[in-house]
Formats: sequence, C-alpha cells, structure tokens
Amino acid sequence: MPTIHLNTLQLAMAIAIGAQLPLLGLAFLSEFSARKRRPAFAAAPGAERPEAPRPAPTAVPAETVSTAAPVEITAAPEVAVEAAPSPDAETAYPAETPTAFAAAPIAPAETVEAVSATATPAPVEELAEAEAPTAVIASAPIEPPEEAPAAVAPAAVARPAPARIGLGLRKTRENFLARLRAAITGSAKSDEIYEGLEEALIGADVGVEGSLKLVEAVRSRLKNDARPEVIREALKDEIARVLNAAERPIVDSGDAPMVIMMVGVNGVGKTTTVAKLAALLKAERGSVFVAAADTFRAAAIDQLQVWCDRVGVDLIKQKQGSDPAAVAFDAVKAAVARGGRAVLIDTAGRLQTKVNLMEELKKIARVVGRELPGAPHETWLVLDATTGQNALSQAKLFGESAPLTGVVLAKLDSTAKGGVIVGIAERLKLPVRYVGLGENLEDLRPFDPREFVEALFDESAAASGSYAA
Amino acid sequence: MFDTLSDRLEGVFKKLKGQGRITERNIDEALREVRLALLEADVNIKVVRDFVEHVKKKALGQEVLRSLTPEQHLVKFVAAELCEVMGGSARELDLKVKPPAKIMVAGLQGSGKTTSLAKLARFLKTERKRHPLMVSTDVRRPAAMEQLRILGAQIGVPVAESRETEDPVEIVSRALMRAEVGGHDALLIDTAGRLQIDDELMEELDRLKVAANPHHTILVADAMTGQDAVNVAQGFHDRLKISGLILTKLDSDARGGAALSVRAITGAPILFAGMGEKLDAFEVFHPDRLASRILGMGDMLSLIEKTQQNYDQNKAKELERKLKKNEFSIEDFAEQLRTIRKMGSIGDLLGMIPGLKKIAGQADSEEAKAELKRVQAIIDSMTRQERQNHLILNGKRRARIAAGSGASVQEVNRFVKQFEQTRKMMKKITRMGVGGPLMRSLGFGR
Repeated sequence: MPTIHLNTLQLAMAIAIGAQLPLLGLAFLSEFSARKRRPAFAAAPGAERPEAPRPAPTAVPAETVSTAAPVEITAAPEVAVEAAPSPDAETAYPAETPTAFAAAPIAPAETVEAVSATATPAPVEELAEAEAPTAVIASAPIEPPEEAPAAVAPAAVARPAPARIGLGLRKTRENFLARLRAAITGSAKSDEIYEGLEEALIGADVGVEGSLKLVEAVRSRLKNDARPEVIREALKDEIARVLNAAERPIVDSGDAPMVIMMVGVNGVGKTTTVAKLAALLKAERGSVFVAAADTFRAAAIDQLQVWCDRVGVDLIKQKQGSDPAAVAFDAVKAAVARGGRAVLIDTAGRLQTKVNLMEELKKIARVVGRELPGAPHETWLVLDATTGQNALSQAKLFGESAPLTGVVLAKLDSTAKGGVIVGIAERLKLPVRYVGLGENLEDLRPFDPREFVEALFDESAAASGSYAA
Repeated sequence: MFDTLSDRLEGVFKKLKGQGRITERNIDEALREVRLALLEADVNIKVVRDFVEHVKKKALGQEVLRSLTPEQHLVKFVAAELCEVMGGSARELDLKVKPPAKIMVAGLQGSGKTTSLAKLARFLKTERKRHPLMVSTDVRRPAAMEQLRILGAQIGVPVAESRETEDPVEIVSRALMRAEVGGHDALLIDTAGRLQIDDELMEELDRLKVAANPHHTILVADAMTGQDAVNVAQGFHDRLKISGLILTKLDSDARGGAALSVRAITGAPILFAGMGEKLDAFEVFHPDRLASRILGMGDMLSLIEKTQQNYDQNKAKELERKLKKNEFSIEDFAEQLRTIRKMGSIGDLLGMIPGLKKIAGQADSEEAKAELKRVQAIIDSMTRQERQNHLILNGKRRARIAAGSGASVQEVNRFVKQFEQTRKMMKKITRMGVGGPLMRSLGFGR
C-alpha cells in the first residue's frame, strides 16, 4: 500500500516546508489536491463563472501516485493565497479592509495550461514573509458549483430541512400561510411558545442543534397542545431525561484509595475544585492525599498548599517544573502506604488542542495505574459554566487522552447556565458529578439534574446567580 | 465539527438558483445560515439578531443580490461587516498620556488576568520600550500575588510589594507612588477575579478605580465564553466603563464569538489576543482574522504566524535555494519535521486552513501517525552522509537501514522513491514561484 506512505509523506513535507516557507507549503498541499481534481476543461483565470450548470468534473483523472489514500485531499477545496489583490478580488471585497480574508470565488477548472501570460511570479522570499502589509490572503473553500452528488455530500443535504431549523429564528408569523394554518389548527400560539423556548435554550448555551432537537422532540410528542406550562414541563422532562441517561455510579476502588484525576483547560477552576473536593472527601472517607501535579503554572503549588492547609489534608508536591507524573505517583504511593482513602490529582490547565500536553495526561494516568492497578478510578473534567460550545470539544478531546468518567461544572454561581452539559451528556454520555457554586470550601454540591433544569429556565436565578431554587 | 458558512450558503443558493431570481425573501433564508453560524460560534443570540438585521439592511439592494455567485459575495459581505463591527482594523493601546500610564485589568475568575497582565508588561517593555511596574491587588485567590511576582521575575519587570492582608486601595496607592518615584512610565494593576453580580467585590473595583484613576480599564475575556459574555461585559462596563478588551485563550479551537458579544456591549476596542501559555504568546488583535474564524473560514493568518514563530529568514532562504536546486536532502526534511513537531500535530495545523478541516482528522489518524513514525525511524537509521545524499543508498545500505529501523527493505525503498518524487514536485513549484503561473492556475492568483 504505497499510497499511504506517499500521502502522509506529502502532508508532512508540505507542512514541514511550510514551517519555513508557509506559502510554499500551502501551494504544495494545494498542488496535490488540485492534481487530483483537475477537471477536463480549462477556464481562463479571471473569467466569470458561468451561471449555467457546468458539467460535473466526473472525469477526475486517476492520480498517478495514489487512489485510496487515508489522507484524502480530493475532497478538500483549494486554498488560495495571493500575493497582491487581483482586480477581481478588489471589486468583490470592500476596500476598507486592508488585510482581509476574502473568500474569492474560484473556478476550480483551471489547469496549468490556462495560465495567464501576464501573471508575474513574485519572488518567494518576499512572500514567505507573510507579514508584508500588502499581502492579502484569500481563502476560498469552495466546491465546484455542480459537484458530482456522490463525491462530496454537500453540507446542506446532510442537515435537517431548513424549514425545521428556522423555527426559532425565522419570522414567518406574518406570513399568509402561517396565519391560515394558525386559523385552522390554532398552533400559532404554540409556535410562539416553542420559539421562545428555543431561544431560551440557545441563550443558556445548550447550542443551536441541541436546542432545536430538544424542542422538536417535545413538539412531536405534544402535537398541538398549546398550554405553555405543559410545553415547558415537557421540555424540562426531556432535558432531565437526557441528563439522567448519562448518569453512572462512581467507581468503587474497594480497599484501595480512590484516585481521582482532575483535568481541564486553563482557568476553569481546577485547583479550587480540588480543594473543595478534598474537604468533601475528607468528611466522607477520611484521610485524603492531594497531588500537586500542576508543576507548570507559577505559584500553582503555593495556591494548592494554602487550600490543603485550610482543609487539613496532605499535599504531595515537588518543585515547579518537575514531572507531574512523578508527583502523582508519589501521592498514590504515599496514600497506599499510609492507608489513605482518596487521592486527588490536580493537573495543570491545558488546552485540549495541545498534543504534547494531552500526551502528558496519558502518562500521568499510566504511571499512576502502574503503582495502583485500576487507578485513576475516576477522571473528571472541570468545565467552566460560562464556557460556550467549545466545552464539547474539550470533553471530546480530553476524553480521547484521558478517558473521562465525569464532569464537574464550576462557577455555576455565575449568571451563566452551563447548558452545554446537556449536549455533553447526550453525545458523550458523561455524567455531571458536582457543581461549583462559589469560592468557599463548602460551595461544591452533588449534581441534581432536576435542580439544574429548573435553573436553566429560571430567569430570576440568572439574576441572583443562585443554582438552587 | 461545523461546516463552513460558504458550504452552507451554497446549499441555500443552489436551491434558489432553481427558482430563478433572488428576492428579499431569499436573503432571509441565506441570513438564517449566517445566524446559525454565528450562534454556533457562541455569539450571543441577541447580538446575532441585531447583527443579522444590520447586515440585511445594508445588503439589500446591493450587488450581493445580483451577483452570479451570491453565496460568496454574501460570505464576504458578512465577514467584512463582522470585521467592521469588531473594530475594523487593529487598534493601538494609547500610551500618549502623562506618565505613568495606568492600566487596570478586570474580569471573571480564570479569564486570564494575571497572565495577560504579565504579557502586556512584557509587550510594553520589549515592543514599546517602556519601563512598567506591575502590582497585584488580588487579596483573595491564594498565591495570586506570588504568581505575579514569579511572572515579573521571568520577564524582568518589577512588581510592587503587596500583602494579602492589605486593602487593595492601599496597595494601589503605594504602587502609584513607587511608580512615580521610581520613574516607571506604566503601572499595570492586576485585580482579583470576580463575578459581575458580586456587589461587594464590584464595589471594591469602584474604589480601586477611583484611587488609581487608570487611563485604561481593560476587561479580560475568555474566548471560549458562551452566551453569558454579554451579561459579564454589561456588568463590568456599567460599573467601570471598560475602555479596552483583551481576548484570551485564542490558541484554543474556540470560534471566539464572545468577542463580538463583548464588543457589542462595551463598544470598546479589542486590543490584544492571548495566544498561549508562554509570556510572549500575546498579539495585537486583528478583527479580520477573528471574523473569518467565527464564520468557520479557517485561520490562515494565524497559521502563518504560528509558523513564523519558528521562522528564520536565513534558514528559509537556504531552504528555498535547496528546493530550487534540487538539493533538498533527507536531512533537511528531518529538520523540518522536527520544527513542525514543536508546533503541534499536523492535523492541528491543517485544521487552520480553510477547507482542509476534513482531512485534518485523517492526518492525525493512528495509521498516519504510525506511518510518520516509521519514516522517522528510517531516517534515524541513516548515516549523516546518507541523509545528505540519498543517491548513495545502495542495496547494502538500504538493507542496513531496514534492519536498524525495523522496516522492511521495500519500505525503505518506497520512502526513498517517494522522497525523490516529492522533492521533484517541490522543485517544480518553487521554480514556478509562489504566485506565479502554476499557483495561479490552481486558483492561487485570483
């Protein structure tokens, strides 16, 4: 299977070269994608794209080097990088944005032969310095206008019909048909209610897709029942059902200390949550050990030390900059030796997209598991309740490195509703273990789906910032 | 996860083409896609509504509707409007005040105030040749003051003394005196994180503001913030009259729609973007880049900038010369590979390029990774001489390399052959010149 080899190599090389000569690297990538999709006819650069349907590029020539590559560039639209704005781009884009991204329409049908003679190749070294103020980067993620349907499923096809999507967003109430329907079925009123609920959910960070789906589920169940309380309660039930479905018991570590690893992005409240959790576990289980595995952030260890002193639990630590896995290992070892009942590992905040740091998490888990089989028994992602849809990416990517068993939703005492956990519960089946409600040690409470759902819809709760009704 | 706005709009307009003309009603349908894109990027729902209304008014009767590729024009139009709403072009932090320029940061817990303050201090010191003084008034979070002291030591910026037992106003007054006496031309004031609904703490900010009378009151906001960004911005703005914004954690994969929300509420310019944990990962904010990111058009400029962190002009020239002359060796390749490893995974990098998201995941697949690993092993098993000139790789050498790397001889052969092929291709492209005929033919020059 030579194809895999070549394509991986191509990619690596393109990016590698791109590290020094960015435009060249991109050109290279584009070259490969273009070679595969070069259509059968040529159009002069700058020519208007004809409106009439053009033949689909069915005659995609078999690429000389590969056919079934795992890294398939065929489907990827070209990337356009231009040195100076061409007249075409200038007219198409408002002039007041000097270094703007322009999604210039690109006829994908050009070939090497269709080269404009007037084109002046710019010196590469100049282009490599992409900071040059004149450089306009035009990105054009475009499919050919009449793509062969099977080749690339257009985004719109895979999505639900627009008529459904628009329910919460479109103002078609004044539309004649809608009025007619309302007169017949009396559903206009419920439309309005559903619309309001959708907006409330979106406003609570449940997300567009999730909100529409939840509301649609209720709507199809209730049919034309337009009583606001009924609809509202049904929606609450629906959300609670999703949250409950993700619940699962905390792993029993038996006689061994229960090891919980806490992970999350920077600034979500991991350290504070660890302190609160330590207080809780101390009361519930007795002796608790905390591992200061955030050896990166300045003063993180000092911060945790202050907390542990307040709680009255042992902190296992090393110097800043030491190996976090070693600290975690020490803590587990100490707990096993001294009859500890629980170990909390406070890891450094990290963005889920940083590969090296994700690898570090794997290592911590591995090393801990070597000392105490089965550990870490639980790995909890701390989420900031004010975080929007990115929380989904966090849950997904952290889970790929450190299999998650739960979520702690911090800062729920803010005005944010934390609705994104509904999507996380639904898609990733991750239960919420605790919610953080303040800066004091006792401000950590077990998650109660029902309570959460009530707060989700409670306007006054947002104003006062209280999660408990 | 999400499709690009152009993809979606194309779907909308494809249907419209069948209907013939594009009407006012049609633009509603297209703008719904814009709405969805913005909502998915965490722009607040009310801000989205206003923005879309604004775009509609402005777009109606314009060439957007007459264009042959309406979706592209609309995307561009929307991107330009977004950029405009976020301030148009990059803004400078105005330092032309009677020194010391006093800058106070505020924000929620965990938004990145302390790190941003240190980054700003470093920026002022190295880029603006200032002599800043920092001070922490965070008497609440354990070791917050210690954190700022450590950061100050790292960047060589003094930190005024403060204790957790003191009143923040007291700390600031003393720091002001020290700044004046010590000839510091900038004083950067860190504050404790707080909720905008915490009256007691917001009151403390009031008092701090009165005491320090800062020239700039900067709200530090997390780019990952969701719908609540408007409430936070409103709360702080009502109280403090925010004059500028710093957007943090933009090195994440968040779309960053919060920026639009915060900007819409405060009207204050977004000055800087936090791009990483290191103290030099701090950039002047570019609205255009974020506009395209919010719309899911990729983040090409950031990619290029990222590559430039590792950029060395002489090396680049040398590399280009080698490519042109077909002297690019396996050794060069290995070095380039090392460089990108530092930047993150190949998939991450690809993900920043518009339209390449689809293959980004595949590039990070286990298979691809294993493949790269094998290539690395093969390269590592070569002698320096072989890496510099692969033409000397005879059968015997190849057998040795295969044995050393755990690959088969066929795999070594394949690698060498493909390296050769790839190199040829690079040479061709380089010779043509970026922006030259070949590139143009690929859609690069339009």
